[in-house]
Amino acid sequence: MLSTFAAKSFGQRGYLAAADHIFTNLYGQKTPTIENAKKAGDFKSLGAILAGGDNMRDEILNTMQKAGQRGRGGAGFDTGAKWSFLPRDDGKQHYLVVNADEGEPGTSKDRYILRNEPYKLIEGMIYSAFTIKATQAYIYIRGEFKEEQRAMQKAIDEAYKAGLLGPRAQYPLDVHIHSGAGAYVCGEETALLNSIEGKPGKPRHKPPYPATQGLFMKPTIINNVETIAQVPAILTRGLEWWTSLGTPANHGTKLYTISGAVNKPCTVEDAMGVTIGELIDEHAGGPTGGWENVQAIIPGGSSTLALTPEEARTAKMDFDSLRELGTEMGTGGIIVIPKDVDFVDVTARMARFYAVESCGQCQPCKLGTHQMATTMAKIKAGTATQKDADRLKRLTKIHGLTICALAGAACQPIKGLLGPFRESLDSKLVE
Amino acid sequence: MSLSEVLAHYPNDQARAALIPMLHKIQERDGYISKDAMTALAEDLKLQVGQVESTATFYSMFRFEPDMKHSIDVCTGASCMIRGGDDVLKAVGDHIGKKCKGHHAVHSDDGNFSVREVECLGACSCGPVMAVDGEYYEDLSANDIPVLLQETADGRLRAPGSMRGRRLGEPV
Repeated sequence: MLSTFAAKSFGQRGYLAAADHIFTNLYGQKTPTIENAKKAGDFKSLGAILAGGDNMRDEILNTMQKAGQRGRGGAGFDTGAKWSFLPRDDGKQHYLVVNADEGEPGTSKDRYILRNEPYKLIEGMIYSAFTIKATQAYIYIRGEFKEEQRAMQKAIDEAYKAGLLGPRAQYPLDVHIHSGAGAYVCGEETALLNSIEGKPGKPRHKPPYPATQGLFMKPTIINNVETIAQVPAILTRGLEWWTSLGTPANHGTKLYTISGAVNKPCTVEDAMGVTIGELIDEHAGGPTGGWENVQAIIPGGSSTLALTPEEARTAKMDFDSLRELGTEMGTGGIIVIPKDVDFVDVTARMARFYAVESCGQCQPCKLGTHQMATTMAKIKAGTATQKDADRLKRLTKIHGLTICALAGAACQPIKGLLGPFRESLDSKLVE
Repeated sequence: MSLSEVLAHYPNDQARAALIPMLHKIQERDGYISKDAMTALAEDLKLQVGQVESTATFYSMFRFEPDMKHSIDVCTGASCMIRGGDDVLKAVGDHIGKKCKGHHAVHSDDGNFSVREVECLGACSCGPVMAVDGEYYEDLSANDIPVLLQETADGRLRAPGSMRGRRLGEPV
């Protein structure tokens, strides 16, 4: 079995051989057009796969269940498992929804697929919709992503023109873009569905899950942009290739965002399971001022617990390895916090974010995130006492008491401040 | 695009789904969303005005008062903050001569700019980031601000993208 680390000996940066990349046009090196996409190999297997009927649907589902592709939107739920929950042959209208509400602080990867690889997303949507027997699909793109919406619409128009979409396509599928309007919580799948329906983006109780009662209360599969855009590669290059990359139950490639105090902040594709240290050194030119200058590293967006540089350097970026360390892979949005930035300031900024973005329907979150933010502001201003620090600790109890995970997410920066990075808090308390 | 064109994207019995797209169109047309516009929209979609208002007020992009000529949104999310996003915000404030802080708009006295702090804009590998009338200007430093704002005021703002001339997101 080809080791993920063998690729390094080919002289490639990172652990991915050039041929193992999926998103070869991530930065728009070639103008994104359907002609260029077809030249690069997109849509090549479309006809053959769609001709396979229900047998092919079973085969695709089987493949996805063996693939170990963990949802790339942050929750890391197995894609094949999710698809299997939808009652395919119930005769109801089904929907495919693509979550392009990229809003997790530190995350910037789906925008490059929307801009520069929209055809891979369209092809992935066709295979996914075919498998779950959905003839209508929505791409929910965050409202601030104007250029991304334009680029995606252009690609959709080209696909209709080329006969790949629409009621007379080989698989009849309509794709609609639905714009968000500025709400992080709409990245939560059921809040997103409510938002498409024209309601405030407040999450629903689960169960029922979207696979049985989703958009307009119909069976719906909702997946992240990157998740769906990887489906063509999994199906056409095959399981043996896909599972040769990454770590057990965490296969394939991943788009990593590397931001903060690094020399070359960037978004790159590499294998699942590469360590944070390798990613920062191989792709981002190392931390600014060297590793001695690193104070903390957030592995997967602001909703994931920060690691010390020692922990982070050898931590494997996969869902299970990071859970063992008490944190999360999340979106793979790595944020490097240097020593000359006050950890209290970063925590206060993140606390503000969750307070602003709380939808307000659960009291623990509505009140808890607000109190976290005001307490952090007090700490930052240098007027907080030990009582305020104790309050912060009590507030982390909101984790698990709410309809959605936003409350738990808000607890992570606070836990970091109360944990390994406690010194910056203690030094500010008065009395 | 008319109301019926928007409605065509949703099932016939789901008129409410047209709400957010129509609110965007109203804001593009009028610069903001007025009470009258919401009342008219409620009538068109056979909803209660309260339903329209409850949706409209939930989302941070919708404005209920007009902005000055140009809307300036400065990202002060955590990643941008680490790379100097607060300095960019301060530079904007220095340029218009008013302290710019908070999510509510700060309007410049010359009628050119409405400035807001916004939460993470999703361009973290290219921070600091600022949106001018919705278009993203990335890899910013405080020094870029006077030039960009002057270009904006003069109606000759350069194309969006990286102010360092790189392809967005590329490790260079």
